[in-house]
Amino acid sequence: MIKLRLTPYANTAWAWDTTTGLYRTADGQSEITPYGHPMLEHLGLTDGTRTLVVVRERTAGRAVARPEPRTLTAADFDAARTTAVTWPLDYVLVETAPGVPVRVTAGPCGIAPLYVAHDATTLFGSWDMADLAQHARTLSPREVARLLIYRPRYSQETVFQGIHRVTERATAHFGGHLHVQYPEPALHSGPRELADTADVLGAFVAAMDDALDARPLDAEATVFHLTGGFDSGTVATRAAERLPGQYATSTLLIAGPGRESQLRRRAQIRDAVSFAGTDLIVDATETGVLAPGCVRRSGGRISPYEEPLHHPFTRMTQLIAQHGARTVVTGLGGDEMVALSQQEYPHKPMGEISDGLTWIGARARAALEFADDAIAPPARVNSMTLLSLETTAPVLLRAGIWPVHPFTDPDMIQLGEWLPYDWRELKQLQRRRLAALGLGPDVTQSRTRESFAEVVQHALTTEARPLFDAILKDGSPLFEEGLIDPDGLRDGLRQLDSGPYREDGDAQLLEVIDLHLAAAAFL
Amino acid sequence: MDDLMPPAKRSTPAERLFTTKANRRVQTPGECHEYKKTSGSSDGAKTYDTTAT
Repeated sequence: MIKLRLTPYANTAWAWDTTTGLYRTADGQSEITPYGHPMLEHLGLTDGTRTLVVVRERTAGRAVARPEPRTLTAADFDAARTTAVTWPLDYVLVETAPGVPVRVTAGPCGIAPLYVAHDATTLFGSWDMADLAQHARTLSPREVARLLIYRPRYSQETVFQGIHRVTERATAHFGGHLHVQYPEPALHSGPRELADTADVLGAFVAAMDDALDARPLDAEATVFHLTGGFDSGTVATRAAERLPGQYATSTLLIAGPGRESQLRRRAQIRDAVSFAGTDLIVDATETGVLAPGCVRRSGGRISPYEEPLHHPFTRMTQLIAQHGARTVVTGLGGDEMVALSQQEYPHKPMGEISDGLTWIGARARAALEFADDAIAPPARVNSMTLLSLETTAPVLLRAGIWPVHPFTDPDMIQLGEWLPYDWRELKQLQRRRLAALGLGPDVTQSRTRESFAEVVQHALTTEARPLFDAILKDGSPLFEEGLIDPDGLRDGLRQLDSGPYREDGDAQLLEVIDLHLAAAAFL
Repeated sequence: MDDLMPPAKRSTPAERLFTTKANRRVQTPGECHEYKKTSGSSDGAKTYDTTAT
């Protein structure tokens, strides 16, 4: 939600420039540009020496805060700083004072990423990694390894040395050098016993209502993702139940055997309550993941953390923006809300490296020993959810759209953690909620898999196939750094070409493409 | 200074559902980062979302 350029040990007299929509110091060496959006606000506080700029999500029911810096006593300034981090929605704080490092603190929600980099005198920050491309020095073996084996870790480390992520509630200190300070771990709890009279569905609905009501949603300017899945389905139907006929919907269409099921089940979900007539759909088989001319293939500086399905997702977002929407509501976080633990349901963790990923280079394999080092402490929101928010936000923000993710609301997360096994198993909470709306077994007990797996298969075996040949012919920073083994990649491609296609073993080649394209664009 | 103050904290109606206490603890890295999709999805099978395909 912010872009910034901060120069410590320079002038710290800030003013708000209404014309350009940014805060700037008198000497012009520091600037803060809040993301302009009706769901956000910003304000500045100073005690004549110290300055605090707050960029944050607006809460429902309040007028927009005045952006012009206001002067407080030192005691009131201290109180304001203490209060600022109790804001229940997302925020970024920027603190400056003469003669000391600048500080930038991220809020707890992770809705938009904040990447930072620096040169000898200045700290730069943005939600769009492309803005920091000139600071990308080389690839980080450990982080590249994590992504290649699909075992990501939420941390301040990015694939590019020189570009850092300010994780949730972390503070970046810059003055001389950059230090990103992690916060205390957020605590989590486990299942509890339900009372005999417990109305779980009622509590779920109340929690969704609170999550939706927390922010000032404008129905006419809001579109709900409605994929046919249970998470977006429960949130969107509840919103439409409360405000019939107001909300438009959107989705990407999948390929494969699940496509007919997606179309049919989505139609039933839309008919169960009253949505607006507009239903914005992009067919991911027509707008392919790595279609020629897409931004990634064209050398665009798209961070590898952005949407794997970047091209169709960008196209869908453009339709949403053309519709006039400024806000998108998603179902992200729904899986994590009701997940079973390893103790409840022993299952293979993601990213168990196997001989099937023949292309992992020696330097990447060696780095995996340290994959869990220096990662962020537990957050209020599950770390995989935070990473999924990060894939989504830049595409949306470029289109002028702010995302809302009700399943990441603290009370939703807490409710999910407390529910007993039988309410979480196979997402019974969401299934029973949809059944309570009158939706039948075709929606709530479908046996047909709906997945982007076939879209990815198509991308790898058709659109991307020539890209692999080009990489092997022309080279890649990933080869030079020992992170991908070209002979191993050739083995992997022979397997891909000979078939049969394997979702465990072939699909992971997509990350090779995304990392290569990002490395080529940024370095 | 009123706009600096957060809104009134919501009550937690979910608390009334339960008869046992909540024990709060620190999660392991595996717990924080476990990818949940395979533990149950719309169709009870492995369904990919956009963070891992």
